[in-house]
Amino acid sequence: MTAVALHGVTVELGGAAVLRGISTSVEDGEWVAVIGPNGAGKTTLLRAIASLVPRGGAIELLGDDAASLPHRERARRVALVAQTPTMPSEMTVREYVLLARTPYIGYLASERRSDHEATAAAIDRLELASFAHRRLGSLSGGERQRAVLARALAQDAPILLLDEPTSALDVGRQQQALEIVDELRTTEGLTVLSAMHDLTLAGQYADRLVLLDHGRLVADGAASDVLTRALISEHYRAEVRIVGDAESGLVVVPIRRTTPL
Amino acid sequence: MVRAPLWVVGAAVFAAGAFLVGALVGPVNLGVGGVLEGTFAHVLGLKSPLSSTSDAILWQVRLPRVILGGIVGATLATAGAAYQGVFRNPLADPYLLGAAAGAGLGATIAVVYGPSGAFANNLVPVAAFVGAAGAVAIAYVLGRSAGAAAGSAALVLAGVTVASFLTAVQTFVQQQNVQTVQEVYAWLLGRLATSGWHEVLIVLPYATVSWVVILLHRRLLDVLAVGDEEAAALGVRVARVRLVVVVAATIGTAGAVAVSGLIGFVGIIVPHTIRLLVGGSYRLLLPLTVLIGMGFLVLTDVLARTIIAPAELPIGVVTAFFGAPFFAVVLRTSRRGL
Repeated sequence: MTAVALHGVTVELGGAAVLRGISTSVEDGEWVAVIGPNGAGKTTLLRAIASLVPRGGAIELLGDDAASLPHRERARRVALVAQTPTMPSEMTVREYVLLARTPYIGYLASERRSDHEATAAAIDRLELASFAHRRLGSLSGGERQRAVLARALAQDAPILLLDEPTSALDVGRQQQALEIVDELRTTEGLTVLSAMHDLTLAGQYADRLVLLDHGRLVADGAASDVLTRALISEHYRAEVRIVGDAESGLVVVPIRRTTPL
Repeated sequence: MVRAPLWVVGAAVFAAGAFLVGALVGPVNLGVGGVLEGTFAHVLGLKSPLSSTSDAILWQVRLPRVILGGIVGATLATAGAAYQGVFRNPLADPYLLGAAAGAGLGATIAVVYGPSGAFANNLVPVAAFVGAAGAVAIAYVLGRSAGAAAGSAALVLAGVTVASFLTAVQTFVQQQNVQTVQEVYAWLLGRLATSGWHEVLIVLPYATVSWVVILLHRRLLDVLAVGDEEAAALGVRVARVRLVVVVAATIGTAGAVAVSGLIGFVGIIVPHTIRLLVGGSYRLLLPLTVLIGMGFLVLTDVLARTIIAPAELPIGVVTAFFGAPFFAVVLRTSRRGL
């Protein structure tokens, strides 16, 4: 089954075309990394899939046209982890994760037992039980990342959108966060779409890479097809060498230019 | 951390105590027993144990004023908390979108151009209500026309714009009619003068609607704390929630302004004090704000009518006198993540 299908998606922000006719699809259980230089439209693509920006073209979520889904139903299908999530410092981890149940609660209703159970399960799943009563402002970067993922998990949506999930983390925490995402993907059967800066990590974790540049989809395929010297040089204007093998994955090594720009 | 029900019980005791103090303090000593028995006699339709003079003081003078103070205090505090929630701005107050300026202009026009004795025939409260609600409506339309993407910042700026303009108009009208300055000025500073239960009955419907609607949105106000975009990703229609809460807060504020003039700082002091005590979740914050807001304004009014008795200070002066230093503290602590 196709989790997300994009048909000629265009987005204009402030009169400028940010996405120009993106068409691709993400299969159920797949992890697709969206890569591309700054300003390529990665974040906008995720926001369009979450219906947070006006768009042209069509987006299908689990077979249904996103535009025809009620707001809450859409939020039951797609969870978005923003690049820098707003985390009110006075809020406790439990209160924060509980917010994820909003799509399941009537407009003026309160949480039910099932919502508290889903929240507790997500907190346990990310090993935050001992942090549940801590205020968000007192957490370290890695703990905050886990709280954010716990909230996304408690939303119980089959499609998980991650915008630069590891940009604020050190190399070890980056690995841990991505391992957690991969584990959730396999155990919970999630479909993951993540915008990523780190090309090496993108190639290691995602099943497929989608390369955007100037709002266009310019390459779509396995890491070995997309992480090529020619494509990266053309779209990132970077001098790189691709090393590695099937076992360790591809490593994109930036090379200091020997010739002037 | 004290548990939520204990906080609510404590706040209810505070409010009840404030009502009792408010009914007790005055030139004639009615006694605690007299106040309680006289009140219950009226509520239950029994014969009051008080003399007819004491009974009239209690039932026609003190209780209406105390109840009015409670309603106005709860309304302004709740509206302030709601505004702080939907605008995610710790310094938002019920007058943020121009309600005060609009009410000021409305009242000024009524005093200056209305028939003489305008206070007696209720023109000023109506004009203040219309001015307050109208100013917020204009600010809202102006802010929304800046585009949904601009969000709450555009609304706040529109509120500032509308308030400045209306204040300018009000000042101009006032300059042309200096003979009414004192009358308008006294009104602007806020007062809880009552004539029996008349004012209570005027404001009660607006206040009740405002409290109920805002309290029903307490969970959604928590969701808005993660920002417009993330709240929208959780399926919340952010603009609609904001509109409903602003309308509810404005109805309450306009009603309060109509019967009591402009009473500043209540909408900031009360919610922030509670935030410092119990944290930021609106589930607990809002019920406590209603109760503490009631008690706070009743006690402030006791000060306003006793400090220079038999004369009265405008209650807006008393709340500002205590509110301004408090405001400074809030500004300092807000750096620590209010």
